[in-house]
Amino acid sequence: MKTPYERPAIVRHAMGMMNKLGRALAQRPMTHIDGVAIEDLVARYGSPLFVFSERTLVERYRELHDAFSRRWPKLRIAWSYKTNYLSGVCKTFHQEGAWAEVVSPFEWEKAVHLGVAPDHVHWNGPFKPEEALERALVAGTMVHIDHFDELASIERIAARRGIRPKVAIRINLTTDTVQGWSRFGFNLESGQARDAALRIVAGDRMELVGLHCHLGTFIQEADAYRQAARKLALFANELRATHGTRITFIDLGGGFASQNALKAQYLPSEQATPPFSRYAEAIADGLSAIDAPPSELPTLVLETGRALVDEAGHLITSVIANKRLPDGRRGLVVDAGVNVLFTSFWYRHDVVPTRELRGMPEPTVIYGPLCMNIDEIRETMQLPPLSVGDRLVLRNVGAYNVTQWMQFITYRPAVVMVGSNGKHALLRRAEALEDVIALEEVPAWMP
Amino acid sequence: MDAVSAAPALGAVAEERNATWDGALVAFDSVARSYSSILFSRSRGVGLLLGAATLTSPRIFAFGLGAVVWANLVARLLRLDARALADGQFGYNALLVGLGTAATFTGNMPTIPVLALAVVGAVLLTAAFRASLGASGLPSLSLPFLAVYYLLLSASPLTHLAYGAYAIDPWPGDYGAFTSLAPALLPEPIPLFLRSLGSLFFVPRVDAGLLVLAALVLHSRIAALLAGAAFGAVLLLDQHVLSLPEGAMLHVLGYNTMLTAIALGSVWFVPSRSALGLALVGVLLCVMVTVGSMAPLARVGVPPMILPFNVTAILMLYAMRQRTSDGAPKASFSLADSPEALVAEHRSRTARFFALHPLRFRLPFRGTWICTQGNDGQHTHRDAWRHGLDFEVRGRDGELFSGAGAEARDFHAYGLPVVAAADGVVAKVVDGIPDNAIGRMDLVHNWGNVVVLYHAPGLYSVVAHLKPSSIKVKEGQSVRAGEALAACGTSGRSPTPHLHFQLQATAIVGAPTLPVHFHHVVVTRENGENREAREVVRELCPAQGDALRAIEPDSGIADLLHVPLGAAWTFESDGRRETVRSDVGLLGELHLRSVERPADLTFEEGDSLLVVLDVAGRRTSALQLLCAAMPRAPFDAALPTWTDVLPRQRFRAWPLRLLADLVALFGERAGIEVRYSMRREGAGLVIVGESIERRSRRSPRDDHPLLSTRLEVERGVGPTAIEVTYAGVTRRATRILSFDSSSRRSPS
Repeated sequence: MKTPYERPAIVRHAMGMMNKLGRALAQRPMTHIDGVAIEDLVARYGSPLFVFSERTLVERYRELHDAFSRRWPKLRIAWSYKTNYLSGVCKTFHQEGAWAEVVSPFEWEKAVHLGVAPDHVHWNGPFKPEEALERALVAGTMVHIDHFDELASIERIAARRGIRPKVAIRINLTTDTVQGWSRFGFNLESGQARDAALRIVAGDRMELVGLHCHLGTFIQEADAYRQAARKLALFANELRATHGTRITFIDLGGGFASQNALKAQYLPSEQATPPFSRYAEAIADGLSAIDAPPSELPTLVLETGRALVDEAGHLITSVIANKRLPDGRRGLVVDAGVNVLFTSFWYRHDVVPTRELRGMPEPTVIYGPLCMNIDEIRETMQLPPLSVGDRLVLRNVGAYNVTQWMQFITYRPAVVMVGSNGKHALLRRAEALEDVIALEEVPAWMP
Repeated sequence: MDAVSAAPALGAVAEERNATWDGALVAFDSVARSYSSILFSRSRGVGLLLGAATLTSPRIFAFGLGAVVWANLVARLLRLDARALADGQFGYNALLVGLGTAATFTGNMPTIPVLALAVVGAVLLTAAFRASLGASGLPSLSLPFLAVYYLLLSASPLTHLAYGAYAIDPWPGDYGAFTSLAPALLPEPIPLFLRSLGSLFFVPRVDAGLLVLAALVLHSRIAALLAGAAFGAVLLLDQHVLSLPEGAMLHVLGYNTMLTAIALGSVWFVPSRSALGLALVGVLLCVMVTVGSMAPLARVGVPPMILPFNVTAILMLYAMRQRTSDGAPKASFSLADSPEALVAEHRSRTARFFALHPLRFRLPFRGTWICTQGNDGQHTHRDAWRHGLDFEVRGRDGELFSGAGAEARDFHAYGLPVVAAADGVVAKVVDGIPDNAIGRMDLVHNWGNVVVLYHAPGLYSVVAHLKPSSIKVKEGQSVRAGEALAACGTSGRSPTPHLHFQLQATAIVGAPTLPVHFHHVVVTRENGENREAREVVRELCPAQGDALRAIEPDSGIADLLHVPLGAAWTFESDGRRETVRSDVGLLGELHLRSVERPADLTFEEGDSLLVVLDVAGRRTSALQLLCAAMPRAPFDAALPTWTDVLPRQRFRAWPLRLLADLVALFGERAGIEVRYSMRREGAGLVIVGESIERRSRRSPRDDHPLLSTRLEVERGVGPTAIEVTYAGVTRRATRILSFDSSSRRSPS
């Protein structure tokens, strides 16, 4: 067979494991995902292609559930829709018993359309238009109040519809290690959360039953959760003592780190990201400050997102060109760009070939297909030479990509799920021209 | 007769009816029940039949009825306990006084005022005896009557009361209304038996006795059987052992022994073979007391009347109360409607609520763990420690550890919280013993770090091999069930991290073990197709390999099944409307009471499940259907299945029921075991039950479950449809929502 032509270049051999350019590629090639051959998937659905592993989704969910249910008697996992709202993925979690966590009327409608009972939905976020809010409250959705204007809005709805909804308040607080996001919810340290609770009790139009605090995103220190849980538990004690309010659930939001590595992160994710059990221990420890008999312990609610779904998502992409950059690095152009892999802006995604590669690894940059300078999938990493048509698998892409991707320059590719039984099916078909122009209209005055 | 403790009256007055009608009903009840109390019954029908029995001798009837009415009036004026009054407790002694007076004295001038005074005395004595004997838990029976009657007898020379022609001795051959019947038709013992029954009410006539017998059979077939057996025993004794003068003697022996047999065999003890034995012993003793007291009492000039029964029954009851353990025969402490109901209730309670210890224990951990060594285990749970249990955590891959399993931290169980199995006080804490390396054991400090909890006298629980410095509780601290005590470790005789649990009778670490059952345990089993089936087992002693967890209550399901206080639900069944209302009883027990049909369902709503304790009353009530469709419901989000036992009698047609009553004394088939499952449907739940028993084992066409049920519950509304099918016949109750009282709706 004729080997493809490769322009000669001088390459510095870099032996050894880790250096500032990253780890040497020590991974075995990935030819199958859950028993289904990658080439078969590409042949059937095209390239690039998002592939989700149902088995990984279920395993991660059960791992999360096991770790927490062994440490806290009442647990509820609410799947964070903004992380991935594909019906197939959401349904997998709901079948395992998850509720839904939404942050907009659109997500609420999507969840209800999928069959989630409205009273099994937690709604967060600063923007809750009154009409949608009314519809949700009447149906029994648990709303987490973000600001006083929203509180006023709910009071109006309660008066108008003659209901007495059960609500929660979102709280922001600081911990030693993580600076909480102060723009969401009511601040605890300044006493604003206390005021909000007092306002709810005094208004007597709704019943405060929950406290919610979402610390941040991609938090790798479990201790931050211990402190947050403890502060919430103490606040719940205070509410009970002052107003007689019984807090029936404490929501610690999401923010658990996944197996991705942040760009600035030095340690590999296996060492930097704690397992679920570590988070569970910290949270159970913090919550134990609650002063209530075991039968009245509040339910722990988790709104986990990326930690559940990231690992289950793969992006299969094909090499479309090889380049030699003036500074000696190799440039690899693949058919998936930042328009479909938004998370490449902040992660160093794992790149895995699908066949055994021969040749010396050399510093390589992976570019996407877009005609935009920012379209860089992976900064310099060590890769052996690849040929046009070779596939690469980008791992841990399950979170946020399929929701934050944009239809820019290229059609958005297909999303496929591989089931536990080796079957595979479309979760979302690849876009075509009709999909784009269906939303457009041309003004009548144009010839 | 007297109830030892007052159980809440079943026929609680319905609020919706007319107040005067209420008053009239209460008054009528107190009179009718005064009659029926003599046979230990609270039924109006029985009372009416007994009144009719005394009517065969109109004068006696008039005196009796007058005495009862006057007595109840006096009790009302004295403001004695209204509930006891409505149950006829202040009337029956007066009734006997009235009947006795009419039978013994003529109706001359002093009789009526003296009787009135005697009745007042009887009421006062009843109240006094109830308080004094009642404080020791004993019934006062008819001691007040005896006291007043003997007083009347001994005072008669001074009160100008004249002995009347209605002396106690009956006329032989007098069949009363049935005189036309040839005596030869009835074998000799039967008229004797009937006369004896009649003599209890001072009417030693065959027709009266027949009515009394009818009343007895109406009240309880078991009691009738006991009465018959007692009389038979007396006849046997008379023929072979004793030599009694003819006449009144046998009557007196008859009704004394019959009442003794009924009281001991079916009222104060759950009817069973051992209760029957006790009743016969009572009968023999009563005969002895009767015969032995004849001479001394004759010297004083009074007949024995029902003194032997009172003495024998009260003394035997008191003696039986001194037993150190209560079983065979099982004592009963509240007055059930009838012995049959007592048997049924006892059997149902045993099948549904039996517990080894006075306290219910939950699993001492959170989440799903595996039992790795059960009772009589092969390693360490033997001999004195055979009832110990070991628990560990298995990961999804089936291993007890992740990674290499070379360190304690790798094991899933390590560091997990260990919780209290029941409410208690911390009796002993041992800490400071280090964890072992994997594979090593500390044989000096066998138990490692330990927490011993005191739950009840002679009942302690122990959790051992805990992680050092993880014990959160101090000695003397009181803890609730489910509260975290410490973390699982591997100290002591523990090669890998695991939790050891045992019950023992003392606080000494390492004491011999007591058997333990955990209640309402969710067991996970593999059920083919790699799926997991979860079942709530009411009472379980874990076996090696069982995957268990406690019920993890889900607030959604708990809210759906919650019965709000004051809720009023209207059902339609068989074309009739019925409203049931939820209520709290005097002792804090929860009730669902039917307004139209006298039916009452008692239930308990805990954190993890709702349990229906019992349902009494009309069979046609929707509450009976509700109890059959949901006798128990766990609030677990994993929607496990569960089983419960329903009493057969509730579903049988009446001929079969009567037959079953007769053999109930000697044992009965176990109740119907039904398996229930719950699933979500829309915004609500559907609970479906299917009995494990099939309708007919022979024909394949009839291979349907004997009993199947279906209940639909909607959020915020409650049960909307109940359907129960027994042996092919379906009964339905549907909810009519427009009739419900509207309350402030609070979604979720």
